[in-house]
Amino acid sequence: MNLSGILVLVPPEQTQSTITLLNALPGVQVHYQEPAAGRIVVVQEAESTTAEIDGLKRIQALPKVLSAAMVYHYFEDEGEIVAGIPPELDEVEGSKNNRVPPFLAQ
Amino acid sequence: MKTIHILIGVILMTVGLTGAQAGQPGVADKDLGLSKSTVFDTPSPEAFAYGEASPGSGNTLPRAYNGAPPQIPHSVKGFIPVTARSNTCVACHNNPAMWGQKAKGAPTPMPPSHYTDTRNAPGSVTKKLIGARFVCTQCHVPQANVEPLVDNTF
Amino acid sequence: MTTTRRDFLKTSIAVATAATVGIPLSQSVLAQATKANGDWRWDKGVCRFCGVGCGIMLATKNGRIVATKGDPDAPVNRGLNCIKGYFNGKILYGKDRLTQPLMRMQHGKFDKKGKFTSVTWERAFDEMERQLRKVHQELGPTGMAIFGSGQYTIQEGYASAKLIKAGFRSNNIDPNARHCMASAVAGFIQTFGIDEPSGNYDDIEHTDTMVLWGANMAEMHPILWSRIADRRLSAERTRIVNISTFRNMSSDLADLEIIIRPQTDLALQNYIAREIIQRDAVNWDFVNKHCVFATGPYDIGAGMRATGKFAFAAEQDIQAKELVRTLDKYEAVAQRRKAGDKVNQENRGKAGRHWTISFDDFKKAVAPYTLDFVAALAKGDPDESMDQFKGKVKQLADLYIDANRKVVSFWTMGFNQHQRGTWVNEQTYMNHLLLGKQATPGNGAFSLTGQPSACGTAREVGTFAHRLPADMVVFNPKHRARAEKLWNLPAQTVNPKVGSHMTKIMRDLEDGSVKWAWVQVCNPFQCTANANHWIKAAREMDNFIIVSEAYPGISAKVADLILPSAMIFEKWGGYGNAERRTQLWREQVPPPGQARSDVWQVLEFSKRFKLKEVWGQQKIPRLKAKGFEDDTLPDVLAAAREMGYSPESTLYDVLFATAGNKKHKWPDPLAKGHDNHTVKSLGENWFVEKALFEEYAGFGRDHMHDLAPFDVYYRDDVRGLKWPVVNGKETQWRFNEKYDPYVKSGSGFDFYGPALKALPSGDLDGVTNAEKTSLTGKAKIFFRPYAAPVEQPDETYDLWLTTGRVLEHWHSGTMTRRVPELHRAAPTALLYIHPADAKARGLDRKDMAWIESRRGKIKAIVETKGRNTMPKGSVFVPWFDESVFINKLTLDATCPISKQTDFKKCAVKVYKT
Repeated sequence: MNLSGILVLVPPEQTQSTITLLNALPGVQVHYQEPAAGRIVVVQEAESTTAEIDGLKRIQALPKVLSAAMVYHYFEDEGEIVAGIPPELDEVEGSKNNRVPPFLAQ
Repeated sequence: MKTIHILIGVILMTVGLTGAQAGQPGVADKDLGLSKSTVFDTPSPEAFAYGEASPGSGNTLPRAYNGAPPQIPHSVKGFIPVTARSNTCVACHNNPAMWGQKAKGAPTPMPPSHYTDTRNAPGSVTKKLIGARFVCTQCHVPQANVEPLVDNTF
Repeated sequence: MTTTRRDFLKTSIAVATAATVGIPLSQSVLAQATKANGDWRWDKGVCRFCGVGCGIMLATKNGRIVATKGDPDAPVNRGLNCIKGYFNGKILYGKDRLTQPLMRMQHGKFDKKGKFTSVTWERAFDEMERQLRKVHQELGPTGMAIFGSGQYTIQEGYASAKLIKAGFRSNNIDPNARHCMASAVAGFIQTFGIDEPSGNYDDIEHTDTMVLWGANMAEMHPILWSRIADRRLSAERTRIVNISTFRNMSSDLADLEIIIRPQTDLALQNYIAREIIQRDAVNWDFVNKHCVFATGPYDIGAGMRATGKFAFAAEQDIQAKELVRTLDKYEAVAQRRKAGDKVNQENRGKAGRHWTISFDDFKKAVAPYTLDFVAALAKGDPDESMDQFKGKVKQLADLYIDANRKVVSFWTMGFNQHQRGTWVNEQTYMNHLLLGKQATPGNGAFSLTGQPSACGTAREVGTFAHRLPADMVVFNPKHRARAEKLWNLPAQTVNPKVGSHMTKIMRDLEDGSVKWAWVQVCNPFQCTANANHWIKAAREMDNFIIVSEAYPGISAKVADLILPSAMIFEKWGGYGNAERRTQLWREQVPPPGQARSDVWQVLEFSKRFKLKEVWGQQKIPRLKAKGFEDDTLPDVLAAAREMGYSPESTLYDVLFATAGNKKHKWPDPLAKGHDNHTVKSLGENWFVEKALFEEYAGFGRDHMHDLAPFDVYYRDDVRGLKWPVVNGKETQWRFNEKYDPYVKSGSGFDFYGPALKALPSGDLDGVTNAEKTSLTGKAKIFFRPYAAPVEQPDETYDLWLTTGRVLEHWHSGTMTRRVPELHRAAPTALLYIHPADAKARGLDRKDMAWIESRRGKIKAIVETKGRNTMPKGSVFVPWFDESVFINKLTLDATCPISKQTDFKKCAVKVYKT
């Protein structure tokens, strides 16, 4: 089971309407909101990592959503909770083969 | 003299002292503190060595508490210093290809906090290691083969 | 997975997410999260260690700290901590915490040669009282002393200073901050007329050039270093310069590293000033409007004793230089004398005197500091080529002078622990002021502090031998009058004679003029240079030493009586960091056993003395002040009676349990369920820490040091505030009209500090016109010459010794060495030495070596690699390790103006064991 903490950014006036849409999504639950800044914290529960990424994409595709970023990600295995890495970080530029990522090489 | 000692003992017990030593012979200054010597002595500091295990072969060390930064379980020979031009730590710890999450010896992945610029953009996890987290050794330190000087009950 | 457990997890993740991204959570949400986290209670706090002042969050459960983390809302550190910072909780739980008073006893009585035996607080105070009465009878108020601290909470420092200055009428209180910040203070006061930096940490994000002078920030200010690293890696233009006497961790991120010989920073800065003038880069608009030029005497000694009476045989030759110095060629040129000239140090007692000079004189004074002259003197690595060194020094000047660059200069102990510490501080302002690069965002000379409340307590509260709160001083009659008014004391209660500074208190113990000393929140017998003298005096002479401590360190072992103290989160308190940010915290957990807060100890002890014992006529040797009979403090009991005090009133009644203070009631809703063992142990119903804070704040409000009301600092949305806090607003950059409400409108900049702002005028040799001119609103650009260190390597002691701290340990290691993770990270203090120097002495890496100076010898393990790379001829040994007691070797020479010890340079030899 995968749990992720996601920060959703929307135009402030769209906060309430987006919350309704978010709560309607499978496995998604809105926990906190900061309407003045259009920031919403949701927790998403998914069966697999693939389902988790699909879920994130679904949120990103909602109308009015400016961005949705995974801030925390937990998966549980054999009763042990392990802090993992957001899958999107798989794409960290240059981190695979270079000794020093390009953004650090001056 | 004995009477006085007993009296003090009773007073201490009534005010609820833990482990009161009253009535016991006192402690000499050389038996106090981290180096068991008087302030006039010249002790010989004890030799020590940091772990020699190469990366990938060492077990992870227990966290001091939930949320404490992990300590470095392997030798850092050749990896430090971390300089502006060369940060060898990130070659593994910032390398998702090596983060098989359950394989023994896989590098400990960096958590999202290391990709979040908490000063300028606290709302978003980026794809870059944040500069403020760049000098790994400010928080993550290797461990030597020495016993604690005194126990800690944290 | 059960539903409950899943919900628990989800709540935790949501809270963690919100916290990471900085969404403010309501109390009910936090309460919910607390529940989800197994009943952990989270509250804000501040780090116990260095002067950076990082915010931390503390979790407690069942009266114990269970976790800490960097506070994401704290502007200083934004959620980060360094390796020490992560162990703020664990330092409380070393197994040998002191939990009961321990007194040296034999046959049921106090005996200086006896063993430590547990006693009640009552019995401990009885003996303290008996001993103090005896000393007071024999020596008067100056026979007692308090070793204070830059780690005192604001309230602790205030209580101790008030007790000894207002109660006992002695000024013998001085903090370990004397060893840490005194030169910075003297530099501020002489240059600006007011203490503490104009800028703040945001300068790091605003600047593009950062120059480190004797500040290994990578180890000593790690979180500021992380901000610097971030700046360096995210803004390509950023340049970092590390100027040091050896290569250290800060060089790893630096673009330019300059290794200099000890004390030649004085010459290097004059070279920059000379270049500024030569290249016509003086910002004349700024200088003409806001600055004057000044200088002072050169023949001021090195802060050692004038007599050789107490010196060991081997120390005599160095000690003799205190009175007569033979100039080397570099000193001679700068002083317009000849090499070999013997100069009597006539101005030893008047080192701080200064006068204005003309720009022409200033220009003439810096003229000898050419690139060739300075490079020949300052090059610190024998293996570096002269051309390369010159190139670097020129680059340094280029960076400062470049009109398109903002520059921040940072410094700490390399400047402050310096035989000309005040001068070298002033020289940094010299260059920033000449360029007009001061007091604007991203521009400024920024003095960093070492200790968590060196600014907030030691300096602002004024726990120094010469100070009163809010930058006031005991030798100024107006300041004394103001303190007496605010403290509700009869006129002439406060002693006008400056007390003994930290090193002098040690010397006083040795010559028998102090016989009762109370050590609070510091470890002076480990941290004071030339320690063999002081531990011997304490252990073998007729005196009584009380040490309030959490763990048995060197000072506790030296003590006659050890009092168990509550640690930081076991009491209410507040600290002030290096950017003028005041941060307060709540008591989080109860202290163990009989341990009590230092505030409780001071207040409880003050109940034992009555006015009639201390406010009668008192003998003060060498007191000379207008309105006072020589050597005498007047009897103020009659005046006290008129004010409504009875001679039978205790110091507790008069100084602490005042009607004003008792108005602050305990319990107070801001406690939110947190306890206060200080109030309970005193058996009172008034909020002691709030009362002391508010009373103290009265000194600074409307006097350029405004603090916000106590309660404001406890608001959930406040993470400390930078004083002056005026109309609810903190001050970002002082002296700058845009930011600082105290600046006169229309002036642009206003260096409004009031101290030392009326000066005679003269030339480079001295005063020519004694008539004083007012310098209101101006800063001073000082000329200060190069001066050679009083002790240098010679044939017998052939290596420089520098001391300092390490990343993993705090100060003398009494707290951090009890954290196994930190101990294993840095188990013992190593002797860092160049491999060739080691080899020449038959030593290899990891061998045991003797290190010996004129003052003592100790053993340490040789290290030729690692984080520090020594140039040939220099060794470095950190001082955190009591088993490598390096301060037995260091020289107790001080800056003659600031009285701060130079721990950075003395001569040693190293050989095989």
